[in-house]
Amino acid sequence: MLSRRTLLSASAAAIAAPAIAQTRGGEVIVAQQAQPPTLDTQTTTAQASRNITLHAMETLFARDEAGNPKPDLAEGVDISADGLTYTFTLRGGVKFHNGDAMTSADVKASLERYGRVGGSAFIMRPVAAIETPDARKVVVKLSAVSPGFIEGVSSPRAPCAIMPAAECAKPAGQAQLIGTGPYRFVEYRPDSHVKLARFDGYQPNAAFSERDGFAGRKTPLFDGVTFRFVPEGGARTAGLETGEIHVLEALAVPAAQRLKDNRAVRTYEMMPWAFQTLMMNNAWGPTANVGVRRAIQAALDLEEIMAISADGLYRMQPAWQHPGTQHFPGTAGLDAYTRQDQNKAKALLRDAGYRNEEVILVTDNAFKNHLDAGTIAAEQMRAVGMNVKLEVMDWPTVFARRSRPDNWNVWPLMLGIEPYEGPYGVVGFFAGEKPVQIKPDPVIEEAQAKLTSSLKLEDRVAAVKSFQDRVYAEAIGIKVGDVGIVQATVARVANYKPYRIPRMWDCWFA
Amino acid sequence: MTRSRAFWIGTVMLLLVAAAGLLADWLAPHDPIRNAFRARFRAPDETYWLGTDRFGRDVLSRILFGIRVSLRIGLMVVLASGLVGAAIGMAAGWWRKADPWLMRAMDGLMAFPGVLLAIALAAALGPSETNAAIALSVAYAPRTARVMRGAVLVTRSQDFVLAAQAVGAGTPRILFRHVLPACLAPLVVQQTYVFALAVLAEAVLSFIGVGPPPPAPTLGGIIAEGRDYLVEAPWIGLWPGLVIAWLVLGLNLLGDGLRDALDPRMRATV
Amino acid sequence: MARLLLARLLQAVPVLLVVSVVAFGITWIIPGDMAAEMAGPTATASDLARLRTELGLDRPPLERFLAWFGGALTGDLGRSVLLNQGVAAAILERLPVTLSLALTALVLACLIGIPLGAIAAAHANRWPDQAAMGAALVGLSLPDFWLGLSLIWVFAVQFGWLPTGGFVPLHEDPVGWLRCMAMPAGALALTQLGPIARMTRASLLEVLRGDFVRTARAKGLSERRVIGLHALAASLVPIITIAGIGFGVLLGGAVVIEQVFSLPGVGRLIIGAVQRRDYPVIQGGLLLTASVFVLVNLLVDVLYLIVDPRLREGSK
Repeated sequence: MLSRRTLLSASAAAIAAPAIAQTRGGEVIVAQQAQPPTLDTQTTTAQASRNITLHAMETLFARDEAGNPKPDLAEGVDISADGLTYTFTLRGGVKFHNGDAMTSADVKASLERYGRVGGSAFIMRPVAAIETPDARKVVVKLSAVSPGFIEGVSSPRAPCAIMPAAECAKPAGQAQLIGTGPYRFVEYRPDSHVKLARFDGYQPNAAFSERDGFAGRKTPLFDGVTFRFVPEGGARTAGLETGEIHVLEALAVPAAQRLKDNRAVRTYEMMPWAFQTLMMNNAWGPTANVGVRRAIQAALDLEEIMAISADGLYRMQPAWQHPGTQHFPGTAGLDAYTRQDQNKAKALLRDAGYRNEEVILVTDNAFKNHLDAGTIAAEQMRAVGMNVKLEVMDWPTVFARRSRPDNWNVWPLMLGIEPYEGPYGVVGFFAGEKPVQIKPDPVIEEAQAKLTSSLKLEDRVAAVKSFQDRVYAEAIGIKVGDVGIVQATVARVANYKPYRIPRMWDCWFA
Repeated sequence: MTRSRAFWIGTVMLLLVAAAGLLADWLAPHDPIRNAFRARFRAPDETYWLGTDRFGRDVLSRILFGIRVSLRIGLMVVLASGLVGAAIGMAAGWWRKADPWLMRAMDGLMAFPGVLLAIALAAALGPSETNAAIALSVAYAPRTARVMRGAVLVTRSQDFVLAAQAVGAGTPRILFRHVLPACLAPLVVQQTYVFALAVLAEAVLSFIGVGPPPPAPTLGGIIAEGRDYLVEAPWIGLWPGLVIAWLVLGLNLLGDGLRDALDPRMRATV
Repeated sequence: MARLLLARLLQAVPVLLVVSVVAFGITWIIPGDMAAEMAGPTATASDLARLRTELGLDRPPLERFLAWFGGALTGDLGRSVLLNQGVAAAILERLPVTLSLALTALVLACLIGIPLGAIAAAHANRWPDQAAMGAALVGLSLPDFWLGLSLIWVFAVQFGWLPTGGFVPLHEDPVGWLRCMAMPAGALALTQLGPIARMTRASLLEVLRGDFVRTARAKGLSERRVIGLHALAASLVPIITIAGIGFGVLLGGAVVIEQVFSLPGVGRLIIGAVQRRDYPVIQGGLLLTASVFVLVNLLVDVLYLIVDPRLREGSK
């Protein structure tokens, strides 16, 4: 995708009028479990924030339906032959919610702020200088080749949102939700809701005919969008059934099955949504021994873990990238690692000299997937004679605990946005200063270096493949399977299409 | 309700639950922790009398073992808060100089809603069975202390205590040989109520996720696991709630019965 | 009367002092490093150092407590790093929800509990007494959060009569407010009317043995009037006491009920803080809840003085 040539606003797709009659108006109510930790878009990687902020904020490039970067606030980018200079041309007529026109100065300030406080600030590390030759041109000069740069600025993980220069002076967590997006901020009542209203000065991207992922031509039709925070799963489902709630970020799978034939509700499956993984500590305790790690690999019945932890909506898929994406490395040779073989596990334990040492599995009770995956994995490991200590703590404690090199061996983690982003986040997890498995692995470090410096796609895919083979051979991370989710709306929400967030543009009340 | 009737009904209710919990190893038809994903969300049938949860675990077996956890924590709280509360209460009732200090401290602790204090303490200490018991004991000991102090204040001016003092008995001897036995009745009544409160509060801790960690079965925890499937699998959360209510009702009835039988002052009024 | 009030106020001072030591002391018992726990794994050493300074962890515990206490006296409870908001502001914003929930529940509990107790007293030791007291005891024994979930199942899921949760301010939409409050307040009231009914019965029985009731009966007043007016008025003091204490219990119960019904109150704030390990909020939440309780009990004492003239003369 990222060729050296111009990456102009693609979509030669004919600008056809939408086939269905759209209706403006109405207040739509979206329910999500958690409340956003902050609405400062650039600084947070929380799904609860992203659901809301990406209705108000936009980025230079944004991911399309398939997860590839497409121009959004930019018309396109020119990348110099040496891969060091990116010249973005901004779309004209774009206004912020405060009424000011968006200029290159705002973009420069936003990118610079992202480098200071952004949730993935490292993407700005190769940036040497940002110049603004005129109001619609932004030139970013890099000090080193960075093939993932456009992926980075287009990622919704912690979006590199473009905001008014005045907001950019504010420290992390303090910037107001003022952007160029289709809805503008109205109010935030903590523990209750966030209210947005349609931004009537919105300038849609004329290069597209309709929505395309986070990019495309966005048409806000609702008068307002209210995001309600409803912690109880049962209450969220009941709210959808009674019509108090119009859109659900995620519907429990058993509820989705029950509601399949309910004509008042529409359910939308998304597969894949995330990876379920088990991370292993290669630096401490029994799992410092590769034999023990391989024994764990052989002890696990991955399908059982998936069936329960993903509530029945899962796919057994061993690759560390989503199939159909650019960097998909294939699944050749992985069968040997993913099959459960308890005798092999016992033999491996014997050969590794395992003498009933305690294996500590840490997991949290905040995410059902983590808790379930941990609980079941622990039981399967016990079945081959391992002495497993399951420690369930709250999420912050687990997170803090596993970032230390000792006192944990296995850690279940669901990766949602990272595999969607592409290979950089996934490989990055195992590489760099603080790799998830604790002790850096030379082969993975090399793969990471190749991935982040190769301009040729096939070289990068090869790097991902060598990373994947190494993770399996060394058993430092176990890809359990792909997790799906169900988004849902009441029947009168028309033309809804599920995505990483429940998008409230291009859909309406029928 | 007549006194003895409350006492007996309460005793029988409590004994039934206690027996179910104690005999869980024999009574439980399935392993309470082992999961079976092919048997997820089974509605009650002849194999799984109360259905299964999202792990395919037998709800009945989990409830039986959950009762055991509730009883264990409840007993720990009864003992710990009883010992500490009684000691503080006796000190406050006997040494009048210490009284205002001790009781203001107890008032301070009692100003917190018990459940809330226990949640905060349990969260800070980290989720475990012992920590839940510690947190609940801190929350409920002041009530015991207050009851004990009141009882000591009444007892200290009674003839047998004054007589013991007159013959020169040492303070420890007076406290433990004369005062304590006379105050045991209200203490026992109070601790029966503390037991009931502790069972309820432990359920809250587990429900919120600061109680004993999963996969250990706890009654509050089973309700918490069932709440996401309120409509699809209402059987998960229904029974543990009823069991808690049964257990607490039994304890309250027992407390009422004991109070009426043991505490003549209360009998005069109620 | 003023002297009595003043004495009562002075008594509250050491209690509040203990309350603040306990509320603050929560952070002393955390095993491990509070800042590391709050900052999460992605924090760099400098992030951690900044957070430690912001939380004041670089200072000795006593100094930290004094600074926090001094702040609390001026209404500053520190900042929530995670909410990015002043703790006092965050709590005050949510306090109306919690207070209105607890008050509604209290009123409901009194409206049901007092008549229940009166009926029981009027028919002491006969079947209506036993039925009423039995019902009160059953209510007292139900786990409130389970009751809340059961109510959702019945009234929201099965019948669709009431919303499953959420909150609408009273001044914006009174009907909506009532619909939102019905189940949470009902669940709380049902579990809390027990003590009120029992105390009403007990104190009525005592009053009914008193002289003036005999006089009223002798004057030929109907039994219903005797109990309904004269006796009930005379037995108000203990009922108010138990209601005051009940208010504290309701505040505690509101914590979980808010979670179950998605009400944006202090309880949900504190549970969220517990889950995120946001200690400034936990400390502030504990302090404020306990202070409200102390305040309510002060008010109860004032009510005594109004209701019971005997106390007003200063015999204590």
